[in-house]
Amino acid sequence: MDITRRSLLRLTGGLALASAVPGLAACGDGSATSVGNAGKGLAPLPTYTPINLVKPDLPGTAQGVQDAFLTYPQKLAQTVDGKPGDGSVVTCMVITYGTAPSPAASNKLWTAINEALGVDLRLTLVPAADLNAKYATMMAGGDLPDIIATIDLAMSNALQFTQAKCADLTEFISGDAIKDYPNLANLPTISWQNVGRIGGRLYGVPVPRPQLAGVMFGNREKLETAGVKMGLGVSTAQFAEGLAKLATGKQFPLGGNNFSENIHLGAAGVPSNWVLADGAFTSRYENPVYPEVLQRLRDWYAKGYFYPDLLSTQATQANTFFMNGTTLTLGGGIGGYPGMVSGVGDAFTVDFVRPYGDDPTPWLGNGVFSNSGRGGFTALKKASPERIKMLLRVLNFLAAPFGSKEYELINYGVAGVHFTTGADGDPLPTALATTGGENKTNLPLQYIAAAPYVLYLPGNADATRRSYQAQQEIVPIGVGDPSYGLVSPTQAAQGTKLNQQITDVTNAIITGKRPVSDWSGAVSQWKSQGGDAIAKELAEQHAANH
Amino acid sequence: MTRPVWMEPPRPSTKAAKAVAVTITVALVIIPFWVVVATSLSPDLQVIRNGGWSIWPEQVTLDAYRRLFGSGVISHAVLVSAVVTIVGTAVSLTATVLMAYALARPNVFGGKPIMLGVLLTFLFPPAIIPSFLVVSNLDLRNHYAALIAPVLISSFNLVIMRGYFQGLPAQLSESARIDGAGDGRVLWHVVLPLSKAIIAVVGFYYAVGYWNSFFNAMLYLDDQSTWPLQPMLRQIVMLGANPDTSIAAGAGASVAPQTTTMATVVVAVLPILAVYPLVQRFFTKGVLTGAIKG
Repeated sequence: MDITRRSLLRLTGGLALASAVPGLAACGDGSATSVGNAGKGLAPLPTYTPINLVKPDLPGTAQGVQDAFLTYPQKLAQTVDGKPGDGSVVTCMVITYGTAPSPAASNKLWTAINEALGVDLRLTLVPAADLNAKYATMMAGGDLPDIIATIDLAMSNALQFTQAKCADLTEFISGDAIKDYPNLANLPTISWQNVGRIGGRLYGVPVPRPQLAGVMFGNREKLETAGVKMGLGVSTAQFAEGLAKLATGKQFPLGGNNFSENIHLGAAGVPSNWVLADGAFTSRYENPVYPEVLQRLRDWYAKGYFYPDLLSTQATQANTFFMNGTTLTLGGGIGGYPGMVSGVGDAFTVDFVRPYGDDPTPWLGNGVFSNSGRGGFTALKKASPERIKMLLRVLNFLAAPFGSKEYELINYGVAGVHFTTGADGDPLPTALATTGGENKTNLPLQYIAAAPYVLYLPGNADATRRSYQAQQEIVPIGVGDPSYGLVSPTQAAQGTKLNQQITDVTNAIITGKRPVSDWSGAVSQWKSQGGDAIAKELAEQHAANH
Repeated sequence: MTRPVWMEPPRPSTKAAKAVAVTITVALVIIPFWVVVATSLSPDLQVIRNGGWSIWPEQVTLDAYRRLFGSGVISHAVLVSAVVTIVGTAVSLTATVLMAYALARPNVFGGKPIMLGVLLTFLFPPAIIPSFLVVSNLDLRNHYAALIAPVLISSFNLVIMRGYFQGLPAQLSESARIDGAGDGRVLWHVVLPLSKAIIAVVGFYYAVGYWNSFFNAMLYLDDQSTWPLQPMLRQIVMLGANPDTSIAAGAGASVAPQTTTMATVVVAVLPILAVYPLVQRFFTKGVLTGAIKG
């Protein structure tokens, strides 16, 4: 065969066309509307039936302050009778943030959990960085595990996939049916709500998280010497004055690996990602205060309040800078608090920087775990009703609350093997749990199903009290995002790209590479490229759900 | 190095300048490595205080390495990586030599369309999902073959080797043929002995490729305990990337894995550093050949 330019073009052109066709077909099959809830009968959410095994030392609130425990319960309850499993092999794909555990046969924690569950649990652990790629191949390959945990709403076609390939759980968990699985009935309604329905039906089990998700950790002693007290009512001017005193050229009051705009926007009274008014959704980007906040952060950046290489800093490094006092605050997830407290040790007191400003509206999270923060859930592969029930019993076991024997096994391991009981009754990890790697970070069952998160730092009651106090102050004035649990096909398809564009502009403005006046143009572009469509879809979904 | 007779001996100032330049260049290469090694041997607290690195351990500790090898998973992974690298390199090299030799010969039946097919893979590299579907439908998932088969022949290496073979004087193989040698004998007794440099270089490329690859294992091997070294190490390096950071009570891990990260780098780089001097003498020649005879 002689290759000429022409024949090559013909060949490659043909290939390009052939590969384009399935893509077009996928756009046109109307699947976007069938996952929506508009015009469908809505299955009732599972009935909330709280379990109170142990009375918390500092009780949480219905609004979302966590239950806090200063000591470990003396007596543990058994919440699951018998073994939930039937001895079969159960495969499960789930995210991991740890390192690989040793194989089940030589892993005492895994063996004990298999024994208690009555199944042979085989885990496909997917590193967080590879989550989307691995799940995309799983969805395309069609070879599903029994339990598909950590389906993330930010994955493209997550809902279409779930609806087509996963089991409809409605008859098993909707309304009072959930009472067969008491530990799942103990999950707060808001977490079910924010997982949402697909086509009016229930497919997912949430992994609940505290309502207060994004926080700013602070170096309490340093901040207080500069007049930034750890309480509400610090004005923006006072806060800025404090920063000015603390910025010495070698010490930077604002750290992290991004600008934590959410914290500063909340402080300035810009509520949450979306605002719902009269059935219409408006993006935070359109808030008139937004450019003012950008201007403020830009000034602060120019004055050296922010760590200068912040945007090229890695998360671990940003933590290190905070712990060694190079930076005095750090934006992060509230789940990182215990790790931060133990990492800092006695060097200083880790506290929560309260929202500053006259009328702050700190942002609340969506109350469910997901890698992207958009939301996510655990679904089951289609199977006979008997098997689905068995799998739900397994999830029920994994969701056993604090103060139960099951919780202890999943979180601390086997007594005497993975932990010993300290003088105050706190479980203290053994070498097998730390250097041996047999712990819940490396065997991440907590991302398959879990009980509502409680606040308990073994042996550090003061740290527990600080977090509780901060939540007491922040949660009541917090604002949730009305778009949680609503489905926007445009968001699913283009959200990542759109967010990236606007983040790039934000960063360029704060670092002084672009003027603040560029902001309105960026917002119009965002709106026309998909923002308006997202707002419209959210409004339709909202109307259908209410 | 001996100086040709017609050259004057260098002036002391030139000598000094050269020494400085060489020292600086060597320092630029050595110091980062040294920091990596020193950090991996330093206590966590020192590293935190210093902002993530150390240039001299206050006290040499192997804690980071103990954390790394503590569960025995990593040592198994080292073994897997070594076997995959050795077997993979051998198989890849054999396949590449055979194919390159065939494609280098003039007028081979089907030679041109096959070569075109190879070149097309440059234009259209396989995407993740199609590759996954092929591997999955060949029932290679959860087999170590999945780490080798999809990357058996690299078209880049094939093109380099074919170019090298084409550059060998045709008279050599012709005379061997007149003496009655078949293709196998020509390849083994004439072509290969003349191609040690290119084989060393392509072999090294393959070995480094197999040693460094991490993505295929994540994609094709479901059980993490069967993984090779690199994806494991990558996980350790990215440990801090948990938005949820539930390193909460119980796990007991400290949030300063910088020392572990650096120990990880040492473990990953050491074998390559150990092998490199062995093939180095072929390297300059071989790489140059590839560059000018594509």
